[in-house]
Amino acid sequence: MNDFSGYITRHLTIIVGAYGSGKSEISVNLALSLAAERQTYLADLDIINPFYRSADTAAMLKTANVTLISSVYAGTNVDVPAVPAEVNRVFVDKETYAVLDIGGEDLGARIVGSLRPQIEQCSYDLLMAVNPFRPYTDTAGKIAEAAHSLSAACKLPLGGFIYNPNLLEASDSMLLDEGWPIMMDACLQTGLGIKFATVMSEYALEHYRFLPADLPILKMKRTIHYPSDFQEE
Amino acid sequence: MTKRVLMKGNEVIAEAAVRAGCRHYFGYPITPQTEIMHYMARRMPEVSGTILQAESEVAAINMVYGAAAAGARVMTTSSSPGISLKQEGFSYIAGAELPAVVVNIVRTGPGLGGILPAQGDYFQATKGGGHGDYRNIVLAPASIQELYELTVEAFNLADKYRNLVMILGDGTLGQMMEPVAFRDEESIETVAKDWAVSGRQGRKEHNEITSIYINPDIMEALNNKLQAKYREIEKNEVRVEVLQCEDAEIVITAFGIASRICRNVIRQARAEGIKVGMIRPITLWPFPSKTISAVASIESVSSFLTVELNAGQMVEDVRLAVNGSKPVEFYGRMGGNLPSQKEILEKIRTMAGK
Repeated sequence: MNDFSGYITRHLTIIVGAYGSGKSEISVNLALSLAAERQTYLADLDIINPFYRSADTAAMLKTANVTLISSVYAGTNVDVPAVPAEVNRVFVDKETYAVLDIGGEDLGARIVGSLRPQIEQCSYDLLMAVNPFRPYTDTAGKIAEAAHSLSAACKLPLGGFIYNPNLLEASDSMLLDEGWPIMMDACLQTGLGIKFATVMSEYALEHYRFLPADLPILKMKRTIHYPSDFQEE
Repeated sequence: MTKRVLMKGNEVIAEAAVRAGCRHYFGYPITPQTEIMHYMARRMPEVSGTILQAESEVAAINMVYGAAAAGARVMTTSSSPGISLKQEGFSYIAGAELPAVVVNIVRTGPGLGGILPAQGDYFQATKGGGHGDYRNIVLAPASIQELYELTVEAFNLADKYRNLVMILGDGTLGQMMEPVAFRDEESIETVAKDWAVSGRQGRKEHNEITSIYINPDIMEALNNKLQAKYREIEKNEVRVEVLQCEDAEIVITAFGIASRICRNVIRQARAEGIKVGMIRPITLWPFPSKTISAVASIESVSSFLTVELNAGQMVEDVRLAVNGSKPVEFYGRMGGNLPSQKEILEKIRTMAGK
């Protein structure tokens, strides 16, 4: 895990996005990459989906000294949307990093809107994860539309994008370049910038054709897994 | 190059249906398949289609009956407890010979059960949970790409035979993401629906869609007609994948997600010197009995192992097909747990005496 703390300047990093855009995987990897530098919280605030959430990685987070805050129902397969009261800790403990993993779509982002008064008391970055290989965000127009509805649900302006080009098992080192033109278009349409990009560790290269040399790249490993070992080996 | 997209199984089902010309979707949300409806709510307006959240599963399946009777391509989707509620409608659709597509993303049962994957609805899907002598075509995909292919195929088969076609997935397939490549255009096999209740269209008599026939001879004639159709489907529509059975000692039979797990086991067992093959039924009804029977007659084959996410359901059909010529063993997990490669390999070692 690379140390990413140099790139994260705010106390709160709030990650929203379209459904299945990689929010949880990014949140876990980001929290892991920050924990060595400072006390780090990861708050799983997904009120949309009981599956594949950051709380699934509780054991790994504990080992890495990341404090997980999640609903008592997370990981129990009790299909109940609930917000942990403990989330208020992150707004008080300001000398820490806190990554807030938000549920998908504007529906999931409503939780940010309801926490707005507390969030505004802190320094924060509200970021939208974008995977241009997902159907909801495969054009600049769709990304711009999603950015608008997410921001409206959060009742806060977006601070930028997290560029997360990903095809899971079919990913390769080409994806960062392949999705870049769509991403650039989305930036032009929205006036937002890209805060950082992600790449799965095994495909991390030193140089990409299109990416600016100074764009931070979070090297990720797969932390949230399928329930069984049915993947091709 | 076809554009690659990363999609959830549930999303692919919805997209495939729209591409196959489905313009009417009626459903009621239930985990782990609600994304189908979520996707439809976004997608249907783009193609001037209809999506409606019904007041219940029973209402949704009867809306399907109505739209199908009017000649529309129509779909409903649900998960196990919701599918139980729809069974009455399936029987009426069979009686009225209506083309419809139903998706069951199976979760654990019985009862309300849990939201995790299972294959415990095999009996219900293939033997008919509703009343009367009827059959639904049941398709069992094992990957996201295949979910796409088979969902499109389901609409063609439904129209061709005026029959209900069910996609039987499980919570894993519905929730997992894989890249999928869509065709630019679907090969939609349009069938003239001159039986539909869509106005008289110049005919003297109006069409009638019903399943009530009081006269026993007429009722029996309908049943005979249905049975003849089912024999025709059995003759034409069996789909099955046979993998490395030519020299196999042990033949695994598994469908859907269970077959995905077993695929890796074959490789591992062969590396240990145990020759394992697999028969993967893609249609659960019509069941590939002839294929299984033929493989059972291969001399090297000493036994079968059926792997399912249930207490042993498809294994009964495998035993009927093998017809006592070779022993058929079973391994399964329940409650939302999936069998691991290790567990299955262990079972195979025991069967091989190693």
